[in-house]
Amino acid sequence: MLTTCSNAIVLTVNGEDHMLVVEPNELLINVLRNELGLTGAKYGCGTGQCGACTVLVDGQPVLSCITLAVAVDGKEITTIEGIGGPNGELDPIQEEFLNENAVQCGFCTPGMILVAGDLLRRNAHPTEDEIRHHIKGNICRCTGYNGIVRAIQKAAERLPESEAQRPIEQSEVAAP
Amino acid sequence: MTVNTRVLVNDFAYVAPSSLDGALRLLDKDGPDAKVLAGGTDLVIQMKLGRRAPRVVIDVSKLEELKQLEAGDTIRIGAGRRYVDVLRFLREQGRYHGLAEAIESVGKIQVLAVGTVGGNLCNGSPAADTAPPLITYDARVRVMSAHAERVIPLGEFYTGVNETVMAPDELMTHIEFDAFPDGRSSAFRKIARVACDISKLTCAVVVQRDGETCTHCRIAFGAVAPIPVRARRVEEAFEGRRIDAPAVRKGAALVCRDISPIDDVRSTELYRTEAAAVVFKEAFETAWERARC
Repeated sequence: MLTTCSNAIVLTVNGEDHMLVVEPNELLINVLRNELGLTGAKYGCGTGQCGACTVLVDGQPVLSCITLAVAVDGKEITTIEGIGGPNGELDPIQEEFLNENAVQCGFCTPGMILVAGDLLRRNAHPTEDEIRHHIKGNICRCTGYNGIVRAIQKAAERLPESEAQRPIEQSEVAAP
Repeated sequence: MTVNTRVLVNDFAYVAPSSLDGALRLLDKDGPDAKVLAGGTDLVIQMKLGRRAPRVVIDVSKLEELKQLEAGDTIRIGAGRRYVDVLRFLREQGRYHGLAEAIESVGKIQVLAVGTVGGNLCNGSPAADTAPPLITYDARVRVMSAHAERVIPLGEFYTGVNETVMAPDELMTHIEFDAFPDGRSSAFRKIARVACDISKLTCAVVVQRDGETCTHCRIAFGAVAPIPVRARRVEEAFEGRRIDAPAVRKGAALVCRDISPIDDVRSTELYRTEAAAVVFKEAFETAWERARC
């Protein structure tokens, strides 16, 4: 008979390896926030609807509040704390969120920025529709979408020449 | 009592078998107490809300045997293949718009990145987005246990709300359907409260077009009955008939006789009955236009 037991897992979080012992029912968001002190991913709805808990797992945006930590053993996790430079420099998307006042309460911001980065990696020249489509799993309750969309557009304009030359890869989700 | 969705309260054992055989052996042993975890976007939420409390969680997300994507005379989609991969595959095929639209309607990239068609079907939800298009494709699902393998027409897969014919020791390995002949096309439409929400109502249509005549028709609805349902009366009204605007209107008027919607948190019986005809008309006209060779 199987019994519940702790599992030793390794997570590479923002480039750093962490050996952790977790219970099977521990959620990724709680391990990141409580064990590793990375409080950027926010606990919002708890049921996979709001996107505030978004982190990247092997480069893909996932909802850390409905992800078992044990199920991502051996994977690379990127949180909002891991996207800037080594000395605390902001990522261009973060800078444009500040410039465009795309942050009001800030609760949705980490998820929004990670999802925006995911979009720009796939598509360096997104249209406004494509941007809105890509962020539709992330809810902002301060009604700040216009600023968020502008910030993502400005960040796209700032992509290095080499990135901007990249052909448009079809987004995972086509704009309607 | 307020549910605390911050943590998962119940204890369970987690196993991630490295082969299909291993997974089937585990299901053989622990089936009734176990739940299969694929993307987790439904299961973990249900566990948080206290609707499921498995003693064992069997993670099949790493099983290569569940990830096939095959084109040819028969289209095969591994039950454990992520939505994003299936969507890309369907776009490459250039047909099967109905299923592609259903997957797109799931919406948020965070779910498309981990969710699977197999998970969507196995949950047994009458609102499962991929069920109606696959039913209109006459799709079959292949399920295996440690002792046997069987193929089940998706139209016979659902038995009630959140219930399917699958036994506790069975695992869905893939979904398959026959490739479309020329002149056949499909469409899917959904009504939901907001983007990415669970459906209030879905409709999928397949038509085979010969000039202005419809030679084959399949229509299915989601979230309007305890299980995803086919609208056979409406199909009969179209098959072998010449299609024009009055014929489509007449068919749409029959929709209410094939569905049995209820009032729930997402919508009402009256709204669903009225909206079903409208959504059907849109889906039918789209599929019909696409089928023009």
